[in-house]
Amino acid sequence: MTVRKNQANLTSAEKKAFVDAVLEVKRIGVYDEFVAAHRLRFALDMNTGVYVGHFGPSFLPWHRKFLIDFENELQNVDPSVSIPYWDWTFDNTVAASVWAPDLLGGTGRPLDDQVMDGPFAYSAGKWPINIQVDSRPFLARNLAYRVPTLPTRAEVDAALAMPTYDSAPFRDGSAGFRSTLEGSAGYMSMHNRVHTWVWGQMESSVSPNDPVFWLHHAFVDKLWADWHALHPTSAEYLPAGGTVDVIDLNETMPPWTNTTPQSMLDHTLFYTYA
Amino acid sequence: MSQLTRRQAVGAVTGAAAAVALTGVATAWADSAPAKGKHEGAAPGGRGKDESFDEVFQGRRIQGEPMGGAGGHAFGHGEHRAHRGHGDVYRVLIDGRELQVMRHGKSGWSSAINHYERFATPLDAARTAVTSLKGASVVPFDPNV
Ligand SMILES: [Cu+2]
Ligand SMILES: [Cu+2]
Repeated sequence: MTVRKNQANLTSAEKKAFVDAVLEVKRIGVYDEFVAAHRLRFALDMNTGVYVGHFGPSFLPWHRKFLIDFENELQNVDPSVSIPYWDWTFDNTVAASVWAPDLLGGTGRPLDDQVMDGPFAYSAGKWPINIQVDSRPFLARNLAYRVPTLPTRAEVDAALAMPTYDSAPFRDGSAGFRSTLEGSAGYMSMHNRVHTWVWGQMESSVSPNDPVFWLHHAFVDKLWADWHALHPTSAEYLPAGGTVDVIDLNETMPPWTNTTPQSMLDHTLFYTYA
Repeated sequence: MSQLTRRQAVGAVTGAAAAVALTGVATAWADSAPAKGKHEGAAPGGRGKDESFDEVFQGRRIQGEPMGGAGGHAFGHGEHRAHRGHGDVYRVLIDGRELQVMRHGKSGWSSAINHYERFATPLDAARTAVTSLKGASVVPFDPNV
């Protein structure tokens, strides 16, 4: 059974195994298919008015499935590997171990935001940015530039305390846990704010170009699991049916042909969190 | 639980279910020559969301033009994209290359470069994209890549 761990608790060997698996998935061309799929989903969410991956209730189950697929690719390379999670409420500075050269490398240089250390630095030769929204071929970051701070534990706890998963109109500005956690209920808050705090590709529609994408979304996914444990009698997902332009509980989430929010509710079928 | 393989998933993305929407996006986002600057600059901060702009910001030429409804004349063929639920359609260019921008209901605008933020106007989105790029060029969205 796959166990997802806090990145702060990984051994050196576990960090190396994770990094090596990510680099191998990149080398064989599979990694960029995930980046392209995310960019396309974002464009469709934005431009068709049908919210699937973002801005609606299926934000959480869609990304849960996206991470499961990616984790399976990592495990095809090394069955011992799982996606670690980054608790950005605790490891919330540029000095945190997640940014050390033995895991993701640090912030970018001032000239062009290019990441200069770690396994994903352009100079290391194994991390070209191929699926782009701008012409930079290198991984870019500017940690804490656009917003100085990450979401706090108190903000996370306030979201976790909400008993309702999501509410009408099930999109930007909806009240409830999903919208609050995604950050679409306020300007640069929560999940959205973390993307912006990292900057570079993480701030763009090709955010999975930065491997921290997976660690960020694993923590968001863990918070969904934590929320469910706190509210065992709440509906695990809403809406239950009949909602136009929104993925209902038993509706299929594209691009998958047989994945519904219902099928993603129990993460322990796939992995557990340590 | 059966798992979709990666190729099944990616195939589904580009399959029939998404084809109509994709065609609209691809048509709309195809790069084209920038429009002539025909709008004078307006005072900073005083611009409504439906206005055009054409200015040099931090050395980069940024242009914007509404494309929906009565405003959809300046950039040609893009008005017919599938756009249920969002209303406003707007085109932004940075040095002549299209920056994809989108409106989120009433909460504001974002762009492909600054995707997780909300901006009051497309002009704000264009200026922030220039800041983000640090001299790099926009790569217009192409769903076939
Ligand atoms: Cu996403
Ligand atoms: Cu995200």
